[in-house]
Amino acid sequence: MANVAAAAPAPSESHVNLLKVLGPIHVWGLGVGIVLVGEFMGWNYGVGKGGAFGALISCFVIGLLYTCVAMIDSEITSTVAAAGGQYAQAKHTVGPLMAFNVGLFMVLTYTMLNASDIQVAGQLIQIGAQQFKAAIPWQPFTVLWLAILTLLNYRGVFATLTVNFVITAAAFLTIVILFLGVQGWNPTAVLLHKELLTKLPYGWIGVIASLHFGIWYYLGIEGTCQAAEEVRSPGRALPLGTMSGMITLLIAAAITWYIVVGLLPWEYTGWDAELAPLYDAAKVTGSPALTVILFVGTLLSAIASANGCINDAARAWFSMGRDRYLPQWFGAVHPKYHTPFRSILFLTPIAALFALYIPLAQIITFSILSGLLNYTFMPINMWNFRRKWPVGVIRRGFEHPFHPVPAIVLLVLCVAVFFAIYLGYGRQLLAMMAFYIVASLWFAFYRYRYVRRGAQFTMAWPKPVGY
Amino acid sequence: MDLWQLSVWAAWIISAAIFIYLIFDFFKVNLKYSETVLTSSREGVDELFRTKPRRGNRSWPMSQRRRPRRPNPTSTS
Repeated sequence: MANVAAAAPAPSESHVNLLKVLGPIHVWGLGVGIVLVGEFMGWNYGVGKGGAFGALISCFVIGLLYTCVAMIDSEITSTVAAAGGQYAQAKHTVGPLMAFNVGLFMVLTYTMLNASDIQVAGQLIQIGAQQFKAAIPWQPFTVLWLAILTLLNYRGVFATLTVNFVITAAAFLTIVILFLGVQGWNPTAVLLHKELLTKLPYGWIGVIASLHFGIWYYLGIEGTCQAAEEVRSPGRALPLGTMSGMITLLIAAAITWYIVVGLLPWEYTGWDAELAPLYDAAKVTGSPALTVILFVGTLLSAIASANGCINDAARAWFSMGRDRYLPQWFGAVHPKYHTPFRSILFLTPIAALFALYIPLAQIITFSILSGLLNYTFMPINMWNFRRKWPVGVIRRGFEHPFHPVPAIVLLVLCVAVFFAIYLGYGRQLLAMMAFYIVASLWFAFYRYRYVRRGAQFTMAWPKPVGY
Repeated sequence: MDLWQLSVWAAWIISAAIFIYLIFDFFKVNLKYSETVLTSSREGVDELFRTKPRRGNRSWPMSQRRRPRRPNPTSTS
């Protein structure tokens, strides 16, 4: 809970700001917490497209994409210490229309991811009940998880992200326990890689198609930026939390692939009917203890992801309200808990509607597409940032090496993943693009007149080079 | 009614209680505080409102760092 409470009304000249109470472990808990659910489910559909080796290639290629994302984010966010993450970066480095779009990308990414997480969390309770021969609906538990997590987010960021750190660490531990349980260091003891691994079933086009699902391994690590205004030391905590989070995810993704394709045939893994391949792999071992542990791990990962997504979506929405990209009403902070309470409550029913009425595959595709559009903006962001404020002109918490190589690699990989998505979900991709074009027109011709044009540039930096 | 059916009802009731509390607190805060106070948050507040640089100027934005005063060539002392 917020450990600084303002019981009495604040004087009119004072400001009610977000609290600066977070450290690197909270940043790690936020980033890894949002993503880790992708290790427990979702990535396996890439096996259906490209086979086991195709999924491994996409794991590493998309890992490279996200490493570039983490490097770029760490440099810019450690300098632009503001809630809103990439939205706040875009308004400083590119311009209002890009900032509006990036803000929308993030709100949709996290709200849709939240909806899919709570849907999965509810369905896992149903699956658990089925083990005891009980038939119950999943909807009440989906709503319950959403209510509990909304309450947690409403009451303060410190408790929210401390809880996220603990349950994320516990979920990660369950993957390590499974690795130890199947004696992963001895490939012939329990695992059957020799028997189960095959050549690429659909050739290299299948590998490219599997890139779409490789995103699941890491989707959301860029969400660490949303904590920028609430960390005690942005220059230290954000790069440390983000890069250590990325390392954790690379390890978790590699272990996950190694265990699952060594226990389940690719034909089953690629079309897993029971949501969670790691849980299925634990069941195949025949160990009741491992089965229960992986069930709990899967549930915790879904809850941690939903919790982090509520936090991030609300901050992005709040920041846009504060700058009047949206009605200023959304830019309110709770005077006691110091959270963006109106944004949190506004986005909750939207997540609930999508979770209860839209199929999981559709929701997560909306989330992935919006996330990918956000990553495509990042190379432009980085180029502009280094061009307008070269190294040495302003103080940076972190300077990423080899510029502009990460930006170029990121752009090339984003184009490849767009192509991969087009192969499987071309209609949804075009629908999303049409939505963002309509939203941009609304912003440019109607909403822009309300934007606080001068006041939105808040960083105490010198004028950019060339201005 | 078995334990599982009971848990379904419990989930609905607890969810409803939480949402009622949130809505109650939401209206309470909106009525108690003025819109000016609620929307008074500032972005980048550290950099904007710090009045004195720390010793050694380590954390002071470069654009606002004081330059060392040059000696006046016309001064006789």
